[in-house]
Amino acid sequence: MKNKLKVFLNGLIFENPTLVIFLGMCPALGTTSRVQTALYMGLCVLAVLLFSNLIISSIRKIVPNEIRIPIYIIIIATLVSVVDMIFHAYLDYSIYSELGSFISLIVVNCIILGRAEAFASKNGVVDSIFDALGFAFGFIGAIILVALFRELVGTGAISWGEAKVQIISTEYAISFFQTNAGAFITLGLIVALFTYIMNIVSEKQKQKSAKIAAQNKAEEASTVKGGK
Amino acid sequence: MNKMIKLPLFLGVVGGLCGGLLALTDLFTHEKIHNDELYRKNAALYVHFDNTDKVSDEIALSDSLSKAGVVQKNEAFDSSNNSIGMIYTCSVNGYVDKISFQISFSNGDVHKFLVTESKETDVGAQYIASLGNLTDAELKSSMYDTSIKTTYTKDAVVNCVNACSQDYLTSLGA
Repeated sequence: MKNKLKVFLNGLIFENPTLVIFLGMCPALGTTSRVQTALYMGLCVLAVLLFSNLIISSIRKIVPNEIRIPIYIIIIATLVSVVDMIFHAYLDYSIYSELGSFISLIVVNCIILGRAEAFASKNGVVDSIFDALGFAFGFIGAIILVALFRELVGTGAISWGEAKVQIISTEYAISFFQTNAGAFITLGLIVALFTYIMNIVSEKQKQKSAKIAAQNKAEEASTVKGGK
Repeated sequence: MNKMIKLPLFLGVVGGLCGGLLALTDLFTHEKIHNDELYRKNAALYVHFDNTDKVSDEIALSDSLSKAGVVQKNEAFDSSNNSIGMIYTCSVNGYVDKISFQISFSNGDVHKFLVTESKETDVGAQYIASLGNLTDAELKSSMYDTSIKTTYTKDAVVNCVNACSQDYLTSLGA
């Protein structure tokens, strides 16, 4: 179970697809003008990633090596089409049209094919599910963070369908953050903050490890001295 | 097994299974997507009858209707799938520019007349506005009112409405 948690946390934090390894940047920039669209985009990626990892890890032993990539692409494209049809039928049309071609573009999202090739094709079903969940939630968390900042600073409000909560007065809203350039700046700021926090955590861990090593060394030295 | 056979066969099987999954999803979602798209396309037509549950696909237009300026014809149904009337969407050349309007018929008579777009002159605009407020018998008398001095606009509208009413009466078997 500890190993599964490590696999999950790896995708969620240490190899976060958007904030650390910069994969799937297209939807992270294109669908983050509103929290609602970002969440639905994240759910799309979650569904496709989860099922593609599940299917690919299940058939990994019977897929001929020479044609594994075309097979993965067929599976991913099918899953994307299925999600697209379901969203088209049951999701509010304004949200669906706002997501537009970004749903179809999940086919070429590097997170999906990357996890299929790097993890699901080499590991068991359960591990692959944890990997998919970690990476998908890592992606969802990152794009929601970007969307939250862009919507709040860009419009001064957070909206969900017809409902809208005005948090900052519109006269203080900076509409620049609703533009594409604003998306780049926001992502850059969030990546910088995330890297800064990760560096602090990593530094503290190093200091802790060094302290433990020093303590062990001192204990060893005293044992040797006592022995003499 | 020879790779020349095995690889394409494997690809074919995976492709077939994926095709099956897509067909299955399409089976469950196709009707809903089609109905939703139809509703969005014809949303403006739902205002004609209070009890409209569904508006049909576009019905093929006869030559006489097309020539008169009718661009779309739909039938409205209630929740029990009974026909409640016919709606015609028209676009005719007025004195200034195109005039777009919808006219609906029910129970053998004009039900509602809605002007959706018009850029007419003051006199023409008054005429168009008066049409937009009228229904049933009032509409007819207004259209044939000879005191209105917007002959070009009036003729175009009257001609189109006549074509619609004739088509509607024919469909009723009158």
